[in-house]
Amino acid sequence: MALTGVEIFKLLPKTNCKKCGHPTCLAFAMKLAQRQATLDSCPDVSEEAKKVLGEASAPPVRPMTFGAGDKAVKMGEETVLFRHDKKFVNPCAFAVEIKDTLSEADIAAIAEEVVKSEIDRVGQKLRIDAIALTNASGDAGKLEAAAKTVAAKAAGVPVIINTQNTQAAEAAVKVFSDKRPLIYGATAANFEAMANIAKANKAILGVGASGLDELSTLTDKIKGLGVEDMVIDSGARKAKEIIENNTLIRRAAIKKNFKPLGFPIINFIQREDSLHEALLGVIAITKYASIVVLSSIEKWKNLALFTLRQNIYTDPQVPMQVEQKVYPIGEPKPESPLFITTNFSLTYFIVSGEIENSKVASRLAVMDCEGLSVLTAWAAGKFTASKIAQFITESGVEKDIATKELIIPGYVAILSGSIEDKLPGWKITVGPREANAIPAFLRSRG
Amino acid sequence: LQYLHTVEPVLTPAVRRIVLELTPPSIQDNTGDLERMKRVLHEKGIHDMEFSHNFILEMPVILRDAEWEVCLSYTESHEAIGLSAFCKTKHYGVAVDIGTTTVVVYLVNCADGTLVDSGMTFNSQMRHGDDVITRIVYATEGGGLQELRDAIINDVNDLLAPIVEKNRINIEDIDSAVISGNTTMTQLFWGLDPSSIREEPYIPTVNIYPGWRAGTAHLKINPQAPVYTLPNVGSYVGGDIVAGVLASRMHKSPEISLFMDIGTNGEIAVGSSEWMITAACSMGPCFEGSGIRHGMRATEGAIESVKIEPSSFEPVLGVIGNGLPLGICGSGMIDAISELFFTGIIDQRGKLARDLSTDRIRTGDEGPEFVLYRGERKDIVLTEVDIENVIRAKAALYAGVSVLLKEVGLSLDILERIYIAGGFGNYLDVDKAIMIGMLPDLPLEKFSFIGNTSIAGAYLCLLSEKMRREAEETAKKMTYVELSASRGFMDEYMSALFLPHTNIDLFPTVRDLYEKR
Amino acid sequence: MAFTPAKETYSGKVYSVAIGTGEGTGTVGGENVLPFHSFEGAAPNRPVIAFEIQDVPPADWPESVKKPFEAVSDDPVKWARFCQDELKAKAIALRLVGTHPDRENRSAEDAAKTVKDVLAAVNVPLIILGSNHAEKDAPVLVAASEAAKDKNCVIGKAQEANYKTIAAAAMANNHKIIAMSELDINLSKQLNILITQMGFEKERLITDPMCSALGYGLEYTYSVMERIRLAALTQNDATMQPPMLGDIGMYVWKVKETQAPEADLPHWGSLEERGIAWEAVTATALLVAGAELLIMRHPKAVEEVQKTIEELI
Ligand code: B12
Ligand code: SF4
Repeated sequence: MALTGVEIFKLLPKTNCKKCGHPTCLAFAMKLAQRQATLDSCPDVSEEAKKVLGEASAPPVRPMTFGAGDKAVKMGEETVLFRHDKKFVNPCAFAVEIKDTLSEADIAAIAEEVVKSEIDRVGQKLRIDAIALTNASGDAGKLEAAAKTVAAKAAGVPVIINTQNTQAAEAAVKVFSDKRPLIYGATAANFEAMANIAKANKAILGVGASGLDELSTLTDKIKGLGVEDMVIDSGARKAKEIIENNTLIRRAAIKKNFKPLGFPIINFIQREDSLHEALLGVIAITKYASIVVLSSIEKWKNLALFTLRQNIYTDPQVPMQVEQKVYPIGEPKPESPLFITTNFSLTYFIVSGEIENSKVASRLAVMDCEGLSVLTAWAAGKFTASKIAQFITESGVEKDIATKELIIPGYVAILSGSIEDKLPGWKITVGPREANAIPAFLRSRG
Repeated sequence: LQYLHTVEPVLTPAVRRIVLELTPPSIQDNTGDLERMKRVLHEKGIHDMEFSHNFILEMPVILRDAEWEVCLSYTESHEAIGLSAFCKTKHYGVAVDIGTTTVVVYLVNCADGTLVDSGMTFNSQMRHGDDVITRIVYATEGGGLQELRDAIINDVNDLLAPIVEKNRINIEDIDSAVISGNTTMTQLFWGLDPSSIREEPYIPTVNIYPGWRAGTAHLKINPQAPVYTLPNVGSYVGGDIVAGVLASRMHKSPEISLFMDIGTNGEIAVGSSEWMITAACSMGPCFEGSGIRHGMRATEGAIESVKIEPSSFEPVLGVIGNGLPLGICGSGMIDAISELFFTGIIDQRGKLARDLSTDRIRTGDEGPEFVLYRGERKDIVLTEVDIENVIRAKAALYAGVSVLLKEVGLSLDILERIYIAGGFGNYLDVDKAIMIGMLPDLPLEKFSFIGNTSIAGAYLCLLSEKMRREAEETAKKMTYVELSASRGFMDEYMSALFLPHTNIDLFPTVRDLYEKR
Repeated sequence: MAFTPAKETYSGKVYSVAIGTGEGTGTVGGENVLPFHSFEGAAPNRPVIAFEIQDVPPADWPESVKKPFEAVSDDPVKWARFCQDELKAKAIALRLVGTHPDRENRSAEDAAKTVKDVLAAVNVPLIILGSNHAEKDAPVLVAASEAAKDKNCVIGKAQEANYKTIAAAAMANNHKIIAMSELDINLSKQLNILITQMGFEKERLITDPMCSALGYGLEYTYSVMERIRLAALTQNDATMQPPMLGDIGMYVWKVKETQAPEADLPHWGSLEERGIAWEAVTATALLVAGAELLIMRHPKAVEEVQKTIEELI
C-alpha cells in the first residue's frame, strides 16, 4: 500500500534543510506520496528509511520501454484502477498484425501504412505504434524474411515477434537486435528456451497462458531465469474475458502488490468485422491493456481509437474547463450582443444558461483562464485587459458582428478602460455583476 | 498577560537596557570614550556591541552630562541604539496588526508586559480597493505604491498619536515595534513592490524580514527602534497567520490541530509540533460584510444572531448594542442561513422557496430576497445572491480543510482541536457554522474561538525573544499548498456548494437533526 | 506463485427500473457490480438501447444518419414503427425538438398529440424528451406526461431550473424521470437529492450526468459515470443508485468527425464508417463506465454495440 504524506514525513530527517529543492521535508514527503519526486533528491535520508520507502514507491506495474529510438513506447508504471484517482500514465500501444504468409508486397504495403498512420490531434502526434509479426506459416525462414521486409519498410517501428517456435523467434529477433523487440512468446511448453532468447537479445518477453493462475506461475518461473521485462496475456479473447482478466490482473498488481502479475497486459482482439474489432478496442483501452493487437488499420478506425485513447489518458484532475472559443447562443445575427467570460465550467454553464433565459440570441466568448472563475482569474492575472484583447482579436469574431461591442462581467468593470485602449475601435460595456441579472440587462438595452 | 506568562514567563523585548557606571577619564586613564564604555560592557559579559556613527556623534555629550553614569539601550542583536542619563522606568513597545480591512495598535509597557492602551481604525488603503488584489494592481499599474504605503503608515501613526498623548508618553520611549499582517500588507508597509505576489508563481519579495528600524518605516516612535515583522510563509499565507498559530500554541502540541482565520481570505493551517501545512482558501470578504447587500462588520447595529420561528417564518434578531439593526455581520449571516435552511425557507442549494406563504420572501432588485427586518427607512434583507456568496465562501473554507487533510493523508477525526480566529466580534455560534457546513462536524468541545490572533501574536513577539524565534521556526516549518494547483480542490469545492454538503454523511449531527425535523 | 483472484463484494446495488407496460416492458439497472463484472456478482439486466426519433423531420442530422430513416422520418409514427418493427428497437426515445422556441416552436398541445399517436403505434417502452430548453420543457413535458398517463414512460430531462414542475407531473402520471445535471458528480447528486426531497421516489429516477462525444469531453462523462457507479456500489450511496443514461446520438452527430467529408480530410478515412464508429465507440465507452440506458441514432452503430453487449454478458 502507498504511504501517505505524513507517514513518509516521519521517516525523513525533518530538518527542513531544503537541499531536495522543496521548502520543507513535509512538502517533499507529499511529492513522494504523489510519486512526483524520487527519494534520491534528499541527501540525508537514513538507510532504514530508504528501505521502507523504496519498497513502498516501486511501481506496482513494472515500467519498461518497448522498441528503441523516437518511436519507442513506454509501458507500465500504472498506479490506479480508475482514471479519476490519478492520471493513467502510459497510453496503450496499438499494433497491427502482419502474417508471414502474406506476399512480400503485401507485407511492405501494411508496413508503409503503419508509417503513414500518424495524425495530429489537439497538438499530439498519434499513430499505430507497433507491428505484430505473426509466424502463421510456422516456418522460421519465412518469419525471418518477413521481419527483414518490416525492418526495411517500417524502420524504427517496434515489433512484436509472434511465434512460439523458438527457432523462428531466434531467427527473427536477430533482425531487430538493439531495437528492443517483444517476443510473444513464452508458454508453459517453451519458456526456458524463450527466456534465454529474450535475455540474449535484450528483448521483452511476452508470456501467454490460459488463465491467471497458470500465468502467474509462468512469470514467476521466468523471472527466476533472470528475465525481468515481461508482457502478459491471460489468454482472454472474448470481450467478457478481457474485462474480467484485465481487471483481476490490474487489481492484484495495485491493491495486493502481487508481483507475478505486475506487468503490462497485451490483448489480441483481431476480428473479421472491423467495427466490432474497434469496439473490443474500446474495452481494451479503457480496461488496462498496454498493447492492443489489431487485424486492420483503416483510417476511420484509427482516428476513433486514437481519440479514445487520448481521452482516457488525459489528466482528470485539472479543473473542468470548456474549450476556448466564441459560442453561439441561439442563432446570433451580426447585431447580436457579444459577451465574454472565463472557461471555468461552472461559470460557463451559469452565464450561458442566463443568456439563454434572456431569449436574446448572442455570442459568448469563452476565454481560456485555466478553469478559473472570473474574479479568481482576474486576481491571478489570467483575465487581464491585454489577454482579453489578444483573445478577441485572434478569435476573428470581429468579422461576424455589426458593431464592435464587448460586454464584460460586472466584477471586472475596472478593466473596461484598459481593454478599450488595447482594442481600438471597440466599445466595452460593463455588464451586471451577477449572471442572473443578464436577462434584465438585455431587456433594458431593448 | 497572564496567557503570556503561561507560555513565556520572562519578558525579553527586542530592546534591553543596561546601567553602566563608567570611571570618569583622567590624565592617567586616558582611554577614549567608546573604549571606556566597551570596557564596562566587557565586564558585564557583552563583547560584541555595535555602535553606529549617529550614536557616537551624540555619545560624548550625554556621557559627560550624566557624569559617567548612563543607561544604554541596545537591541537583541547587540546594536546600541540609545543612551541616557538615567534609566527611565518607562519603556514601551507597539504591536500592530495590519489587516486588509482594519488596523489595530497595542501600546505595551515593556517593563511589565501590560497593555497600556489600544486603538483600532479602518485601513485607509480601502480607498483603493477592498481586497489585496485590487491594491496590488493599484500599486503596480496605477503607480500608487507610495500612496498606499503612506496611507497605512499614517493610519498607524494616527492611531498612536492620541494614545501617546493621553498616556503622556515620550515617543522616544517607545523603542520597539512588531508588525503583523498578510504578505501584501507587510510588503506595502515596507514600501516593497507587491506585484510578484499576484503573478505566477506567486512569490513574495521577503518572507523573513531583516530587523529594520522605525525611522525607515516612518513610524513616529523612537527612530532607532527595531521593527520586527512577523515572517511570511508565502504569497497568500502571511505573518498574520504565523502570529495566529503562535497565539494558538498549536505548533507546540503533539496533537494535531486545525487553525482557521476567517477573514477576507480564509487561511488555514493543520499540524502539530512536528509538522504543519497551510493554505489560503480565498473565501472572499463576505463574513466581514463586504459584497453582501446589507452586510457590515461586527460593530454596533449589526444583526449578530437570528432565530426563525418555524411556523410563522418570523425572525427574532439579536443586535449588537441592542439598538436598531443597521445591517448584518458574519455571525448573523451564519445564523440566518442556518435558520432559513432549517425552517425550509431555503433549499440545500440556498434557493428561496417561492411557494411558501410568507411575505418575508419577495422579489427585490437583485432577485429573490428574504426580509429580516422591516425598517422605517430601509428594510434589511438577505438576497439569494448574498446566500450564494456565503455558500461559496463556506464551501471554499471547507474544501480547503478537506484538501489539506487529504494532501497529508489524514481524516477529519484526527483533529484534536480547532482554533477559529477572525473578525466575528465576540460571537460565533459554532453549532450554526457546522449546520451550514462551514466547519467540520466534530464535537463542540474541540472548537475554540480565539478572536483576533494576529494582534495577539504580535503582542507575544513584542515581549519575548523566544516567541520571535518560534515565529520564524514556525514559518519555516509551515508547508504551503497552492490550492489552485492542487488536485482535487475543485471537486471538494463543488461538493461543498450545498447545505450542509453534498455528502450529508460528513455531517452526521446535521443529518440527524434534519431528519428529525 | 498461485493466484487467488481478489474478488470484490460491493455494499450497494443499482436500482432496477422497469419502463413501459405490458409485453414491451423493459428493465434497466439492477446490478450489484461494476459494469460487466458478472464474475463477482449479479447483473440481471442487459443495458437497453433506445432509438431516437423526433417530432419533426431531422433537418439538422448529417446525411449518413438521415439516410436510414429517409422513408419514415417525416412522420414520428411511421418512424417509431420502423424502429420497432424493422430495427427491432428495445425502446424508443421521442425527442420533441420541434417545441424549441428557435425551431418550429410547436405548442405543448401539439407535443402531447404526437406523444399520444406514437404511444398508440408501438408497444416498446417510450422515452419522452423535451427540446432541452429549460423553460419551454416545463409545459411541454407536463402535457406529455399527461398524454402518456400510466404508460410508465421515461420523461426527460428535469434540470435544476425546471425539475419541480416536471417531477410533479411525472409523479402524478406514473412515469419515471431523467434528472440531468452538468457534468459534475456533485451537481448530479445534488439534483437527485433535491428531486427526492419533493417526495419523488428515488427508485423512479434515471440519472443523466450529461453526455459528451468521443473527442469532445468524453473523458469527463466517462469519469463522472465511473465515479457515480463506484459511489453507488462501494459506498452504498443511495442518491447515486439510479441507472444512468447516455444520450449519445445528439452529441455525436453534431461533431466534425461525423460530418466532414473524406475529400476534405483524407487522413480521416471514410465518412460513413467514421460516423458510425464515432457513435458506437462513444456508446461502448460509456457502457464500460456504467451507463445502463443509451439513446442512439444510427442502426448500424446500434447493431454493433448490441453485438458487443452480447459478447460482454
Ligand atoms: C473558489 C475560489 C478560488 C479557487 C479557484 C476556483 C476557480 N475555479 O476559479 C482557488 C482556491 C484556487 C482560488 C484561488 C485564488 N483566489 Co479565489 N476565490 C474563490 C471563491 C471562493 C469562489 C469563486 C467561484 O467559484 N465563483 C463562482 C463563479 C461562477 O463565479 P464567476 O466566475 O465570478 O461568475 C459569476 C459572475 O462573475 C457573473 N459572470 C461571469 N461571467 C460573466 C460574463 C458577463 C458578460 C457578465 C455580465 C457576468 C458574468 O456570473 C457568475 C454568477 O453570477 C471567490 C470568493 C467568492 N465567494 O466568490 C474567491 C476569489 C475570487 N478569489 C480571490 C483571490 C484573491 C484568489 C487568489 C489570487 C489568492 C488566494 N486568495 O488564494 C488565488 C488565485 C488563483 C491562482 N493562484 O491561480 C479573490 C479575488 C479578489 C478580487 N477582488 O479579485 C476572491 C473574490 C476572494 C477574496 N479573497 O476576496 N480561488
Ligand atoms: S533534503 Fe531531506 S532533510 Fe532536507 S528538506 Fe529535503 S527532505 Fe528534508
